[in-house]
Amino acid sequence: MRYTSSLAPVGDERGMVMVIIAIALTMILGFTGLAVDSIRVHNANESLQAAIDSAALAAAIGQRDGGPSQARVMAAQYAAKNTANGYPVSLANEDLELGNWDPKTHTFTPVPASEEASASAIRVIGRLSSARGNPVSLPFMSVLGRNNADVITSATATFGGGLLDMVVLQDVTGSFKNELNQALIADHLLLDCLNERADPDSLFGIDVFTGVATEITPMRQIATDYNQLNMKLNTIQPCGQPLMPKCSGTNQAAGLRAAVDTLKATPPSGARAHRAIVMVSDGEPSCSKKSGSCTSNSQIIADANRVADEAAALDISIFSIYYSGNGAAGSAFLEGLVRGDGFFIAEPQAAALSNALREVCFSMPARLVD
Amino acid sequence: MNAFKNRGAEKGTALVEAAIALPLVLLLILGLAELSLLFLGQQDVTYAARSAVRVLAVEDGTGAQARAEASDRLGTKAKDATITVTEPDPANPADCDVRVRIDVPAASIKPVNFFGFYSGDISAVVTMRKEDC
Repeated sequence: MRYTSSLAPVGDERGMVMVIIAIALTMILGFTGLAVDSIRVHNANESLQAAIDSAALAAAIGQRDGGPSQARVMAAQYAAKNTANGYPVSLANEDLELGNWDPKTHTFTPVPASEEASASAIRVIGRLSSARGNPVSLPFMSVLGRNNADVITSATATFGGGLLDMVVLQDVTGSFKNELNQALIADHLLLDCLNERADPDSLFGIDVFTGVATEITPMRQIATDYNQLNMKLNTIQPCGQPLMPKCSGTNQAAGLRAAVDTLKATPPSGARAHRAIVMVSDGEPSCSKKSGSCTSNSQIIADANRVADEAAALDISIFSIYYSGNGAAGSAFLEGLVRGDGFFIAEPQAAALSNALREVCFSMPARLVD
Repeated sequence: MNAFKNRGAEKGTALVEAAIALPLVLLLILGLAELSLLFLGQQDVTYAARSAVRVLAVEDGTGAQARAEASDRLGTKAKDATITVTEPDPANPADCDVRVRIDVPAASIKPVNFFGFYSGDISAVVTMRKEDC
């Protein structure tokens, strides 16, 4: 007990252990309390992040499907379906920002209120703070004068983003000759849209078809080969021209076969890549003996559906964009080729094909990006 | 008491004081450790629920995949956990919610139970909107 004699006068060592323990206990309690309170703060942060992720994802879907007001409603709705710090999460107006997401620099840029309708990304900020009256209480740290802590977290969700591997399958049949330039403007716009919104590793391929199909380019990385892809689109001409397939009817089955093969020939850009074919065509199947690829229109229909099913089995979505201005009787066949997340658009105005392909770009799944 | 006033007899005083105080200190530390384990467990359970619900909402995964994700995140706690996955009702097109609830008995989170702070379940529920709905 040598140490006690250095702390107290010889003659009265009673209570010295209690003093040492009291000092040690204060330190132990302080540090342990700090640890426990820190865990509580992390815990609140984890719960809040889950709620804010949910709100951001719902808001992105709301923005895509109904615009800014629906985005705000859905964000508030899904935040409140989750709890943080024991209470349903509530959002204030300033907690939701609409803007655009740059996948290359990984940055979110808010847009002014006047441009919110065209925003493709939503950032939601979750706050458990003194200013909101809901901070995380710190029972142990309150002994040291710190009664509570603010927790602030955010989540950004976008649509038309992520890894997208897409093949444009362009009809270059004679009947589409007069509208082909408008269709190619739309194809360029789709490429531009993907270049702006999709993950830089995303891939893009181009196929054209008549009664037979030709691959214009295999899958290429959009970010690195953007200029080459634009040049490849510029080489597309009506059938019979150099590098184009001969004019030989309209065989969507041959086109889809080529598009699926183009996608299959290159590994997906990532495990979670969303793969899709965007077929732009102006009419019903037309079996031509010159093509040597069919025996009847009904065979084309059956083959096309079989290839579409094969695509679906490979988790490849099919978008079917139908230019109906050439007076084709129906489009049930083209509509029936839609698979996965794809959809069908019948567009009577060639100039409006750009809007249809923009819709394709914007329709890709919403996802959390930050 | 005279013996304690005696310098020679004070030699055992510290030992007696320590014998009284140390168990209390030990109990207090262990109690705080127990509390910490509970909070840490809550954090793990929340994280597991969040990861699992994202499998359903964003990755279009199945209920089995969501359960597997939750179990993976829970680690050893998974063996006693009850994982409840709620997917949208196909009969109700307006129902797009996916929900994962995880309940883990507190006893499996804290291997020791000094103070018995809590003996129920540690739970977390996370709800998201299914993207592809």
